[in-house]
Amino acid sequence: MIRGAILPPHILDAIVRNGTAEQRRSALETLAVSERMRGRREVRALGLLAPVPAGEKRRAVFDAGRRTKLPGKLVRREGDPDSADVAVDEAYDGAGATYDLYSEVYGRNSIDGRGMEIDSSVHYGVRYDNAFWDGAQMVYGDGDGDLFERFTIAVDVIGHELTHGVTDAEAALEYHDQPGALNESFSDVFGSLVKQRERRQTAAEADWIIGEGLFTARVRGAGLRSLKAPGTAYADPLLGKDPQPAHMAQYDTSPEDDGGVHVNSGIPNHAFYLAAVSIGGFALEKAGRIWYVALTERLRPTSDFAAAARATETVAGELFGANGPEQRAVRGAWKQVGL
Amino acid sequence: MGSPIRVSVARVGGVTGTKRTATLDTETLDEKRAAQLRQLVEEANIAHVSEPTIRSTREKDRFHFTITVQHGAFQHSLTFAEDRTPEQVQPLLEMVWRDGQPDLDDTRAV
Repeated sequence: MIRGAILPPHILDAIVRNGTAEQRRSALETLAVSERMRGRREVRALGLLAPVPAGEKRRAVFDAGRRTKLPGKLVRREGDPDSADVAVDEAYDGAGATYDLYSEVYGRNSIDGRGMEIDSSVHYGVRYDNAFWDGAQMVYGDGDGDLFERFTIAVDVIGHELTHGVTDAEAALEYHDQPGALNESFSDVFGSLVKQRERRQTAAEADWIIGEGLFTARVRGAGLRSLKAPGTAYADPLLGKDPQPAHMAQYDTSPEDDGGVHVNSGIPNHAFYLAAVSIGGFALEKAGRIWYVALTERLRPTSDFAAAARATETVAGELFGANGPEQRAVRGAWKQVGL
Repeated sequence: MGSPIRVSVARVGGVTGTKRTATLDTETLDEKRAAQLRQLVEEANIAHVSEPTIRSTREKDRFHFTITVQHGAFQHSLTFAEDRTPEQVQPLLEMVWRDGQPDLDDTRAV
């Protein structure tokens, strides 16, 4: 019997090709295809299961039980009431808020655009001070309790992780150097938009801080990163100082962190902030839409900052008029960060 | 007793994008733990891990560790994504990371 989250397509393909309908059904049961497999791209592509209607989110939250095996135990499914576990409920609600932003504002049906189930695991590891996207799902640690709270506490971190899935399905920006910093930036941008939508804040009203509430009271800092003022989010004796640049002149060329993907993201982050504030109103409406179209229709795995600048400028003109205030705002923003 | 060994671990990346370090030195450990460190350094054998830098395959926001062993005149470093930690390096990584952190209360006193 095969266990594990992802079934290799060639196995399913063999069943489809060689089996009767009865054999297919029983093979799927034998292979322990769980509810969450129903959302898998490979499974749907083989026409085994009915397509998921647009606009319906399907979430599942798992408890990894302080271990590192994924996904863990299923503890909350779509439509289930609040659990007794705040991390579970935050993961559930945050995934929902992110899905809703993409669906209601940009017409996108889930991470892959085709109704994929949105899976999150909480309580990953012991005192794990991180959250990540594993290629198929979101994973959240509980924080170390010294410097970091649980990672589901900030809805923009949830939006950040889920957006990695969207980027993987779209531009697939390679996770190193400038494409990697762009990848990171799209996650920070759309994570911010989830938070701003929840709070009904305009670009002018928003704080533009990623991960507010994630630090414990011991830490001297507002959050992980600032799109408004990269490099100012924190300055702490143990954590150090926020290393982000706001301009190409301070681009970090060190090879660490795959060429500083979490550092140099400050530059495109700041460009988004500048464009959004210049355009005015709610950032998700125009600036967010421009960035969304660039991510899903223009950028490629090796796109660099200059390509992103060109793509967003072009899209701004296409959506809102050549040489209109939106296009000028986008052009001005990139110029201001040195591109 | 061999010559002094110093092992440093730098952790970068993750969604927080922060950098933390931990260091253990046989010179400042008791005999038992110094022996344990030497043993784990030998088993980790980082000079002979095939790739000097090991990236994630498809994961995002994972930590990256750089482990550096200084032993007398020589020094070797190995960088790897958290999800691709070479098995033989894991115990050394855990010992240094767990025991080699700067003491939070000391930094608070500064």
